[in-house]
Amino acid sequence: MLELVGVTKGFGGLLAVDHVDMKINKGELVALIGPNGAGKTTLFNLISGIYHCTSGQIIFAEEEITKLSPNRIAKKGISRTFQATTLFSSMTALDNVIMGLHLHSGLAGFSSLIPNLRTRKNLSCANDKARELLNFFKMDKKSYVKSADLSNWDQKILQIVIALACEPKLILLDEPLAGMNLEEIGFTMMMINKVKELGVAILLVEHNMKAVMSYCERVIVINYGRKIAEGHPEEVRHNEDVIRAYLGAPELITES
Amino acid sequence: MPRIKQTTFGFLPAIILLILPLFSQEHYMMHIFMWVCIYFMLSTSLRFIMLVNAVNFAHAGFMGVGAYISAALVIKLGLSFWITFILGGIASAIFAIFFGFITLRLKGAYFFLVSFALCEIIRISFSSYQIKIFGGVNGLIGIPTPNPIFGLQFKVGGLPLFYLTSLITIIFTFITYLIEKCYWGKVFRCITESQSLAESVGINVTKYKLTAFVIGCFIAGIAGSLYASFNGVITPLDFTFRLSLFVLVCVVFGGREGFFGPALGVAALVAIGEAFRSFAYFEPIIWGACIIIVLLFAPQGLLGFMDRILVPVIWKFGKSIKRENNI
Repeated sequence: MLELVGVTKGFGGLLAVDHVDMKINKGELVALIGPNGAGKTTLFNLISGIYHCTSGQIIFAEEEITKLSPNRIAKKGISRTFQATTLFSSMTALDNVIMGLHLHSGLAGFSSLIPNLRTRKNLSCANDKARELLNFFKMDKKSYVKSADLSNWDQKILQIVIALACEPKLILLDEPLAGMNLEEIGFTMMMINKVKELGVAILLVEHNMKAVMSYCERVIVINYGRKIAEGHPEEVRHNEDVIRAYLGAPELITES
Repeated sequence: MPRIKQTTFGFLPAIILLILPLFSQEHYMMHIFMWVCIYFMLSTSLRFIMLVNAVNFAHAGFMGVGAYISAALVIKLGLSFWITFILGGIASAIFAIFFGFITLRLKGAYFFLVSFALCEIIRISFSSYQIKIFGGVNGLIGIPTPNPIFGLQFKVGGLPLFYLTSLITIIFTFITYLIEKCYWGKVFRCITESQSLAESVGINVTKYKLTAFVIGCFIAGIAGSLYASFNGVITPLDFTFRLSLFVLVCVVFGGREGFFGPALGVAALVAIGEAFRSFAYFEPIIWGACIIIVLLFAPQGLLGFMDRILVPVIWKFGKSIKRENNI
């Protein structure tokens, strides 16, 4: 569904992403791993349109999206979360999700400029949908809490809820497990799996190897902007390049 | 502790302003009341633009566009005020579309700087003798007041003209109030809080920013036409960046969070300005002092100060009185 062909991004003399080719199929859960500074987040920013490629092509659902702006790409069906938790922090959790529904609530046009009956109907409709989504993620009790006051874990989950509210075909999750304890990681991965069961493809950047290895179907490893390995978690784990660049000595992995 | 609605404080200066002219119709005072209406329109529309994180320093310039277009249409073509005051606003809005479409992509302080330059460009363009219809540095003289309607004579310094100005002010600021309270207001808040997240959920940031900017500039243009009709004379020097600065100071001083913040700011700053009338030359210094005091002691502006400090104190005081009475 998503295809990257020779995607390259340079900042001045530095090639942050260097001729990366990759493919994500429908409904797949793929992990993107690599050491810090390898270009994972840059790749995300390229896919979601925040940066534009220096060369190469990004094709999504048989359409080229290389030069589209972020909001157009969101419209095509790619939504994302951010590494540094980004929410509409002064708004309640419910309002955050309602904003996530922006494209599909029929409120985006000029007709909702001034209060009218249609807007009110659409808003209450969006309200119900947002509640449903929060219920789905067991966040319904926190609907009216200001999102800045939520705990780190809830904020991470809320980011995923907002991303899912856009009705995407592909979600890009940038370190959804950062700063969580074991129990929270288990719950979050369960949630991510639930999202996957809805038929949404997920590309995930994560440093928690245990979660990546046990949940993902395919792992892509990049280092210094280049793709160095791709395949089933089990294969990647024993790939020598990957061990040298990122994972470290084999006995360390089995412990962690 | 219940929070008293901010509107309570916002309405107070507005109502006082509407009642005061009934008691004193001295020419000078009426002039000030008219100015307060204009300032209120300008600062509310500036705050409206600031909702999408764009500080428009060319607000006086856009007001000037509205004033000049409407005045030129009245004088040269003899059109009625009732058409030209809308046309002045539309001219300003069209100008805002061109300017905003190009420059609203700039982030942070860069937009501010470009709009600062624009303000001077507009002033200098109007000063030019090349454009005959705008009268160069001397400006346009002899702009008539609105034509009589429903048997009301709109004379300079008269009550009908004042109430006409305040009615138009109320109508157009109420429109921005409605937009802010509706779904679009939420979108504006999203854009201010995190532009990248707003884009990633599919919000077309440029569209919303441009719309807010154009609506704000339209209202500034309307304010300009009103100014032209009650002042009778407009010169390029009426629309300098000093006026933009004053409007911006009003917004910051009054508080940009609530809708009525600018109203409070205008009321306070005009009152301060009149109190120090004999030092008019040093007015910007007084504004500077006001800004410093507000930033130090009430970063949310006067409105925030009342809402967060004054109201709770009054509330506690009232409660303690109640308790004493009970005992």
